[in-house]
Amino acid sequence: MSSAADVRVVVEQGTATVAVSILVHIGGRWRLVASEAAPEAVGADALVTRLVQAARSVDADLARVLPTPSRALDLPRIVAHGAPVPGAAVIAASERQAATLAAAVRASGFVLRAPEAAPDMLGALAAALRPDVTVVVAGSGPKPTSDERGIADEIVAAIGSIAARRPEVSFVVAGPLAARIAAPDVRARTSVIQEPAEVDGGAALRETLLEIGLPPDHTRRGIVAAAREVALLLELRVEVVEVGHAAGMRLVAWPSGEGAASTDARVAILADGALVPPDPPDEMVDAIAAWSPVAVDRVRLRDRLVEAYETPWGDLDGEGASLVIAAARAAVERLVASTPDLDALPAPDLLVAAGGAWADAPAPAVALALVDVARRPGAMQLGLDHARLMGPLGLVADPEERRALIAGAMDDMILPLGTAVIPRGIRAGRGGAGHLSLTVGGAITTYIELEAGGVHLVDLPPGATGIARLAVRDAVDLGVRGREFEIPVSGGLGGLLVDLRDVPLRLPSRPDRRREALAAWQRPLWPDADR
Amino acid sequence: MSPGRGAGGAGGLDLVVVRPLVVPSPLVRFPLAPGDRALVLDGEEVAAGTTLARRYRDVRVEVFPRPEGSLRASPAPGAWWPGTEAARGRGRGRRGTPAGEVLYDAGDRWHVAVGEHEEALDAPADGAVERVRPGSGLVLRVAGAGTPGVAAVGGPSRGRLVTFPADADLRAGALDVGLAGAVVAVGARVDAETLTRCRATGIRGVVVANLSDKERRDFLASEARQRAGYHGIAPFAVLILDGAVRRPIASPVRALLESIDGREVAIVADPPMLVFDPAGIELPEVPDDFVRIGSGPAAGREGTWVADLGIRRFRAGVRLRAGLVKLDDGSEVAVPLADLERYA
Repeated sequence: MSSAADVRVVVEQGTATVAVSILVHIGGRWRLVASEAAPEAVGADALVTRLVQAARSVDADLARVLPTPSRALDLPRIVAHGAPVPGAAVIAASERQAATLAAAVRASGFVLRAPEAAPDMLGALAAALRPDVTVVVAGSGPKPTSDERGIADEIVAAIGSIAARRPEVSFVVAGPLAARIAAPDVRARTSVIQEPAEVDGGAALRETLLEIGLPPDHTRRGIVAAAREVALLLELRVEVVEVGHAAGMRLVAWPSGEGAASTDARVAILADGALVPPDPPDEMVDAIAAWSPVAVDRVRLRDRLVEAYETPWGDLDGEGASLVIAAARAAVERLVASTPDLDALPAPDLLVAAGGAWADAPAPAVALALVDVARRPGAMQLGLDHARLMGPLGLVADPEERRALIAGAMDDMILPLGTAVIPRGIRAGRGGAGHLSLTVGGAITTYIELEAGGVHLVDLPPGATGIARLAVRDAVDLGVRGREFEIPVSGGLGGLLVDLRDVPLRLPSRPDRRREALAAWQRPLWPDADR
Repeated sequence: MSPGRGAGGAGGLDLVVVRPLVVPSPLVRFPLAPGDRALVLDGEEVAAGTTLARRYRDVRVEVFPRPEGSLRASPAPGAWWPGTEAARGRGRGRRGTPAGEVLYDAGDRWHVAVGEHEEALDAPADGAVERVRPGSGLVLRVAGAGTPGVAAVGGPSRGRLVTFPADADLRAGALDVGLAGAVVAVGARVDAETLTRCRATGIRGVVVANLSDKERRDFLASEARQRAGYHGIAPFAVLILDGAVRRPIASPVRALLESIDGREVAIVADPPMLVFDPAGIELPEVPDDFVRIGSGPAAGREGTWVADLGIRRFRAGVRLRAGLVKLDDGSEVAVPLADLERYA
């Protein structure tokens, strides 16, 4: 007998593609029974009907729980939406202030439209009046210099001018300048941050901008909430690197408070963290080329990236698949490079890849891509939000229902890719770098001699757990320094990756050797990559 | 039924992206910058060629005290100050104030954006002005219809449409002054040199299936150099229908272009579109089962939909939902569904 309470349709409506999943409550837990993605223009309804039909046809129990396809659209839905990255402009009294404000804007999911060379008021005004700008950020330092004091009246007048012409724009004003915003209609549209933007690295400004930039039903808001739930439920430090069509996000969530009963999180959203930003500069194209095991010249690669931006759902097999993974690596690399404050936090226990960029890539290839660019010394589990469930499930309004859904669907929500062990400081030498043994169920199942500079892949299927014993000749950094380690590991589609390459990774500078190295590292995990 | 065709039967077309062939009465946006002067009002109806705004280059800010005997209150931000620069006394400095857009009034001192080197922004088609935001933009509801592309460079620009018969690359040698004032629809691709030659020949626009990003950047650089010169240059625009990788113009789009050949059309940039008057034209009908391969190695090939093949393993071991397509040469191929597109 069909019961709506037992079924949820989960929809992640992105800016490029839409992902639909069917969750069914069976045997006391939520199970993912079907999932598929399609170009956003196709819409969710066509996928819902198809998935319900497919699920009913393969399993008699599901056929009893799920409605007929003609009534599939009546099933309760949990929906998250993506949105194009909004534009923001900066008006500041000095170049120093403009740079501070611009850094906060860039880390908060906005495209910066303002010229950074303050105080060019005409340029700043022109940027603020662009139709895609939704937020104007202004600020002054703690102790305004004489030139800053002189220009404050102009900034206030410029804000009034923008407010009169663009009723849909809101304002964020930091520091003493905020007290000068007197006009009631402008003040009503202004978020005031009392302390100057420089305080605490701009954390208050970033938090305010993140709040303004993410609508209540935004996927990234949901991913943050879901990551917090996962951190709390598993009592782990969780890092998520999300790469989408419009932007990318890096977040770290960890249990905190008395008895680890709550969570804390740090979030950065970057428009430049998108899989392929529009009109990428040459350095970005070269960075993507550097991660490609396939030789491709800059002109041809540019054309393919233009197409990848326009139709990101297309050309996903063959060379296109390699290109997407290379672009995703470069995107995570940009995210990591732009968020040194997150690197300063302790290494995560679980690293999750999320976002449409990873959706069609073979799971083991995603595991390698993660350890290539988000590498920290230590051991961490790797996961993939393969059905794009984190965003919608994190948006469930009722905290109890949200926790029940995430706890129940955890194993299906985060596909286990395996465990990565990344020691820093492994040295090559006679007799090898050391050895690793893996014990599963009380018996040693694997013993390997380690070679510096390589990636060793140990088969460890999803669901399996074991103890890896690592013994190295010279002391290495694995979160702590030592020569012998016992590491609890869990399996996944990529197995156990023992990564003895440099931290951070140094690629050969010659393109042919670099491609050879990339292909050699990739071959065990993605044997079909070049077929 | 052939083996492996059972997953979704003849259905599955609903999972293929639909590209609109014609958009009725599109909204078209034109950017304005501080210093530009809008000449139309909200709701105003305009004919093609009407000057909507005057745009200026080399805009600077002039600051002067509130003019004596002028308004008691400051003008609204964005208002046009006509200036009082009638008298310029020799040896006594400038008197009066220049004309320009009032940016704001700070401390009883007006900040006015004053530009030089005027360029007219003309309406590309008949329509009604939806919204004017001084210094920001202008939105026009076009009375006709538009066929969308993926990007446009330059514009707006208008002229009579000349559709080249062969779906081949446009070469500079094929251009002559007889095409002056025309918008030409060419084949798969065009290079920057040919685009520059088009402009020099007096052609007003080019509609092309694809433009390599390198050619686009080269052409933009050439445009920027020309615009930096003192004299204004005639409007010119390139509409890119598909992307950057070579494939021919889709046959439904080509049929549409041929049906409006010889008519006045316009290229607009936001959204990228070819705008035309559809009155008296029989628009081409696209068969329901028509599909085109939009992406991947076979991009540009066309055929008819046969069946949904379900999830298939493709090159590099990637698993994707596939559709079976009968191509024009009679062969049947499995294509990732996301690589397909159809027109409606």
